[in-house]
Amino acid sequence: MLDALLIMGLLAAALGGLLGFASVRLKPDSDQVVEQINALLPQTQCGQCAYPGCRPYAEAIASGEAPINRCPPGGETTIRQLADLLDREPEPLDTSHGSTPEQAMVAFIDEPACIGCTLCIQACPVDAILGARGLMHTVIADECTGCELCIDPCPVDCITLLPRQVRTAA
Amino acid sequence: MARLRLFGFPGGLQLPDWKHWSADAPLRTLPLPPELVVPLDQPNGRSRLLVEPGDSVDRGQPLALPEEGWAMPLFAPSSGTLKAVEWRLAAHPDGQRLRCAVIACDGEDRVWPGQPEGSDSPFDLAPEELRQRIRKAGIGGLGGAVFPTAEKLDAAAEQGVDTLVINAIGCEPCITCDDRLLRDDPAAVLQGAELLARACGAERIILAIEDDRQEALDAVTRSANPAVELRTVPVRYPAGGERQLIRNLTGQQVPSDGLPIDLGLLCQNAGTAATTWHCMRSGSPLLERIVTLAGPDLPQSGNYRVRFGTPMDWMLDQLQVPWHRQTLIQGGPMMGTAIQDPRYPVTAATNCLLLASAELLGGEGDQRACIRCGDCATVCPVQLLPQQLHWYAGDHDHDALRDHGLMACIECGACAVVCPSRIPLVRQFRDAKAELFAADLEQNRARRARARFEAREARLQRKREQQEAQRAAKREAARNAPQAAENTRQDPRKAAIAAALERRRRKQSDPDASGGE
Repeated sequence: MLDALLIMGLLAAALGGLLGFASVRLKPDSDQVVEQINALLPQTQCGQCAYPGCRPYAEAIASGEAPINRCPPGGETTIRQLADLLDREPEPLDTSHGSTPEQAMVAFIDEPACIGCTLCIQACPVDAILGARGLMHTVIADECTGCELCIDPCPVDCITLLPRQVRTAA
Repeated sequence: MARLRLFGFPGGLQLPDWKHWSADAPLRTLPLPPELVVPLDQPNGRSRLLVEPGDSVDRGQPLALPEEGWAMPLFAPSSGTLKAVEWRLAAHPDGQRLRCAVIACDGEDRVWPGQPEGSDSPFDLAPEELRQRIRKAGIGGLGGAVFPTAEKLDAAAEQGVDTLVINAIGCEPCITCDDRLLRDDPAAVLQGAELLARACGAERIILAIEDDRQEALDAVTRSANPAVELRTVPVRYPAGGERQLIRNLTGQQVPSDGLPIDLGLLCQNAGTAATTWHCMRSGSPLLERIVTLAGPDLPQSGNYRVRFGTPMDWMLDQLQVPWHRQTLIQGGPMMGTAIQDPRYPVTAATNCLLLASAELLGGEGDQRACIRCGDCATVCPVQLLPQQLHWYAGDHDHDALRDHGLMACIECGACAVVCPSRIPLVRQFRDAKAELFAADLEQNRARRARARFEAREARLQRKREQQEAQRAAKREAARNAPQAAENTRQDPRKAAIAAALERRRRKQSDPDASGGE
């Protein structure tokens, strides 16, 4: 009886020690985790999560600083995937950061109204606006993520959002 | 006719024939409609419009030239005036709208003066020249997918193929256009086959027909052509699928991510072969096709030569078909798509127009839960597990759908036909495929956005560092000002300037000193 207790106790202690050691030494590289989280984010770089881009948000999630339900463009799908990856409970989207758009949108510059101030160019997180000071600007629709960051800075309110045209394939 | 060994293909099933509805009426030609509609947007690419509303056009005049992707040139099917470019609902389950050119016909059917000369002996043309002419004539596969024939031939010539398979198997019920073509114009099919083989460099030509099409077999045998091997395959749906046919004839499996040319084979539809022959002879581009009109108890059932652009509703009215209140389907009952807007025209993809009631098509609505009987897996010709895919599609589990080979599904419909719970499996798979496709697009978009975001961040960082470095340099310079003065003294040129300045200053402050120097 004592032998058995002793053996089991020692075994438990040894294995516990091993597990404790492993959890400290073999911790997943946090960079790798950030990378994996970032891969699940929609890369709109819209900043609606209150972080300046998807990667900073990924870093905040990885460090436990931000919850996983703050990405409106990603919506339920992204939350589910993040929950799967991080082994957490999926939570409903935190709508204080915005709601999931029903349709993908792209920015559109009303070109006759544009005064060429370059403010939108500076705001665009993916360099999808083309133009120069004093000259008309235009949006490269294929590269626009529809993040809306260019709308606020425009002094003449010539930027609107239009539904992105999806080219259906056969 | 040697009966060589066949290898069969997995799955498949016997379907009701329904070919007698349309097979026995001789081929007729439909008159020209008052208005032709030519869709300008093509599934695999985009084209640029060459004419404007108000322009007069002639038969065979190019309307649009390919601009991007695998688009084909488009031609005016008859002479008249281009009335407008408008949007119409396509023959596509998505309810996609396409830009269409509407031509008001003048009935003269004038040939475009710029149309290239035909060749009396196309066999004298070099293979490259043949492929070029096929490309310019806008010939696409008439089996239903309308893939540009020249693209296929180019790829085949480049990779090298030894066998050309001419597919004359209309394995779907109702469709008899290839059968009728073989009966009425076998020489064109056989010579077109030889021409295609010449264009791609294939040495062997196999013409595959179903073994119950006796009249077609007789017609082909009568116009005997030693260059073309005739092979019959048993009637079994989907024996006419490209991959199934190749498996059946050669025992080889075309990989799901590969093409028949990887095995040294090229498949072309019989209608494509005949069309190639006629177009090369006349110099005319592809402007018409044979369309099967079929319906139970429909006396007008049969095959018609129809000019592209003929609106379906006009065709049916012209033939006095009571089509209202019936479902109009382009293609066969298995793989066809319901037409939502009957003003849509006959195109190269319209192999059959089927008028059917809901009962004939099996109907939907009383769908029950999957009972895991496994019948769907037995009939699947690509050896997938439709019931598993059904669950995964319901869960939108993209990874599992991919792992279980959804993309290899040929949408033949066999699984849906045998399903005792009447689950519309194929419709589900089509939707799931579209979903996977959209997810891929989104993924690519995200990847690009991320790269652009990171490039921008790096650029801004670089800029900040440069500015910081400049500021630091300036601060450094300011702090070292006395030192700089010291340095100036050591530089002979600067020292000379400093000395001159010094002299001038002294001279100004003490004019008398000048005399002393």
